[in-house]
Amino acid sequence: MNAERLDFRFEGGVVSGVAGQSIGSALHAAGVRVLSSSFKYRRPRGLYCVAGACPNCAVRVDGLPGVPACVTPLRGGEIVERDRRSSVMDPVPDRISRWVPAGFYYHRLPRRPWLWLRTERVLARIAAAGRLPDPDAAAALLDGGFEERRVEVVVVGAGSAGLDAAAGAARAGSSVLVLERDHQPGGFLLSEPGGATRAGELVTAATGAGAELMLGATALGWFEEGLLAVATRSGLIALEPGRLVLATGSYERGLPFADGDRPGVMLAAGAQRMLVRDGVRPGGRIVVITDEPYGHAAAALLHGAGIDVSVVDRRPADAAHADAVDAGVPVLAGRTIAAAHGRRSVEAISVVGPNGRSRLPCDAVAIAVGRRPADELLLERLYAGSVILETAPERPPGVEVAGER
Amino acid sequence: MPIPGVARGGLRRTYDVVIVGGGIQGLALAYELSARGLRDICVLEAGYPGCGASGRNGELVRSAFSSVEWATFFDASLRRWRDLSVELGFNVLFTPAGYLVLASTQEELDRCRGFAARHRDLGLVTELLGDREVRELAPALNPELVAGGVYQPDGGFAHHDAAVWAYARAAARRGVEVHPFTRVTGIRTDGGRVLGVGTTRGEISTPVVVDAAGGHARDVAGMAGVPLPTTTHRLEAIVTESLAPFLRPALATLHLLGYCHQTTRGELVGGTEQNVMEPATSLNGSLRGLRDMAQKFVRLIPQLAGVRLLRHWAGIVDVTADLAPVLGPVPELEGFFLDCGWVYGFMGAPAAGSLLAEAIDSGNVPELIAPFSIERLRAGDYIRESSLVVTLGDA
Repeated sequence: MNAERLDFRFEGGVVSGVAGQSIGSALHAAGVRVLSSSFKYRRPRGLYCVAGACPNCAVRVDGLPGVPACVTPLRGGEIVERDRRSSVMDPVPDRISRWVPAGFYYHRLPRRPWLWLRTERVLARIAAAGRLPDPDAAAALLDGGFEERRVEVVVVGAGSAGLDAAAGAARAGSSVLVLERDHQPGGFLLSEPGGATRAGELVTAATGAGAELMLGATALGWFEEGLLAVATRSGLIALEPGRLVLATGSYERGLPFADGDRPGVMLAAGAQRMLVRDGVRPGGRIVVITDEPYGHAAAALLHGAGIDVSVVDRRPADAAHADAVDAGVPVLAGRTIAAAHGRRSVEAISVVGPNGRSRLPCDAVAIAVGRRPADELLLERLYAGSVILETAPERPPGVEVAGER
Repeated sequence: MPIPGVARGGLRRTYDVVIVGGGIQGLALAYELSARGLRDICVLEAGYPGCGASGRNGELVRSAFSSVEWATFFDASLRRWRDLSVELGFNVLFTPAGYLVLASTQEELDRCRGFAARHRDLGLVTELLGDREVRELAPALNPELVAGGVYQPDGGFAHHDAAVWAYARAAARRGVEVHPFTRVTGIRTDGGRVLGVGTTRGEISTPVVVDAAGGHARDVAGMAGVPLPTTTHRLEAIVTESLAPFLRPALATLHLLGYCHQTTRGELVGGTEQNVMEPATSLNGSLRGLRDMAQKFVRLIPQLAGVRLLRHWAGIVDVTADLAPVLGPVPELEGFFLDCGWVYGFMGAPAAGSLLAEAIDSGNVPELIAPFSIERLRAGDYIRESSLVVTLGDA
């Protein structure tokens, strides 16, 4: 890969990345693990889902807060900052969390209103996640346009299902618009070795049949007017789809364990995306926690890139070993992760099983414990209009869900 | 996990008082009735407590209104808000960060000057601010929209879920039964008296029924044969991602017909009214509403451009022609009381609960709520309040 080198600024220093990488991957490659801090206890947070679906890597880019570093492509020349500068006081709220548990102010302060007012001022300062946009950055966004458009078939998601559906609908003679929030079409194909070629073929088939592909376009919501609101870089589009195909794919599930939010702990598809799409190794020594075949496949892929990988499989030995792909990857079956260790990023994990607890040193953890559908747009319409469901909701007419059996 | 304050047992066949609606109005009233020593009080809620407008409002608290009726009633409520956490034993997070009624034109400023002059006589603490003072108080505001305003230093905001929760808990501790997922299907009357209510979980006999059903109040009154001259409207709100403090006071803008505040967590919460509030019973957020709010709040606070939204939601209100509540008995139907027609119901709940409880318990309607009778609506004798940031469009 003859990639172009791109420089950007991160908190006073210059960081180099490669064209096509995300800001998050470029920072990871430069050794930056902590990108944000948690809301109240200011725990360190970093790349976690690597899919634009969690707030842990939100950074400030060119004066705008809340930008997900993991999926924002590097342009070169941007100014990237943590929206909350780290401070020596950061560890304090977490250390004293035993005395100020979640919701403490509801129960511990009602008899002392004056104390609440003091506390409120302090909490307001601690709790803020970001800062207002810089005035110039905000002003530059004010001329965003608004457009209304009718399309016969709208496909949300340009992964393999969406592109295939678009090609089929276009060949059948419909006008088709495919929306993709990523700057590249292909979805998870792009995170699989050789997948980019397959994605290219699918794009050619869809656009060759007449489908229009819109990149960097996020379907924000499906409103009761029947309109699909789409945010693009140049403004808002209200689409009125004749038929709507939801091919939005899935999210990976997380796994709760002690200090499971330490930077370095990430979801396996995210780790795979970093490696395959961005050419950045998620770690030098990775433990994959799984109970699914795809966890073993991800482990094999990471191992193939020269990373020291081991698998902790929560299932019994026979099931775990049946799914193992790469003989060079050790599999610890019938065990699971109990805790992550490390102050600012993960340095080791505790694994528990029938024979007790052991400690595995590592600098990254990949969680592969299943997926759930990315079905918010559908749920918005199914469950809208009432807080009390007396009958099971019916799908609105003209809606298809890709991948559904 | 059991919800605090929610009854786990079945419905009894008889209660002394049945309150229809487990929002903040119904729960505050139930608490106040029990505090006055009444027993056998039941709150029937079609969903879960606070699932309607009580959990969907802008959570603002003020009494700086233009009319004597509104200003004195809501000032009684504001005084209750200050001590509510202590009284209920649960922090409702009332934060007297100040409340600014923002004027953006000379006409609006003149209107503010007119009613602010009355406030001192009514015992309200407010001040009329000029453009420079407002800019100092809220520097993030677009200076083009700042002509001045009325500032109430002890107004502010509370947390709506905490307030609902606190009332439910306090009421339950005094023996009130709150029954969720129990819909009222009919109200039995005979000879101008209330006899009982039918529900999806059986019949109840009771001599007193209170309609505190929020957006569904007209339907409930209709079951008792009481025509309620109200229309149902949808209000929408948004909340942004969290940001470092940039707006201290709560704010209502007369010019944009909007209201907002920055929470302790740093989110901006607010809503706007479009000039035409079409009758609607839907809880869906609309794209039209979302665009209206986004455009107006960015106009009000230009640096909000580029800030992401966390959520967008809607709630319904069942409102009167003068946008004031309907509080008190219904002359032709003994035992039937109204606690509805609310638009500013969250901030009014503490006073409404205690004053209506007094009316029900003593049989005498307290002076502060007397103007909000249903008779005023029947006579077309509307209350004239000119500092509201909701509108019926052509009203």
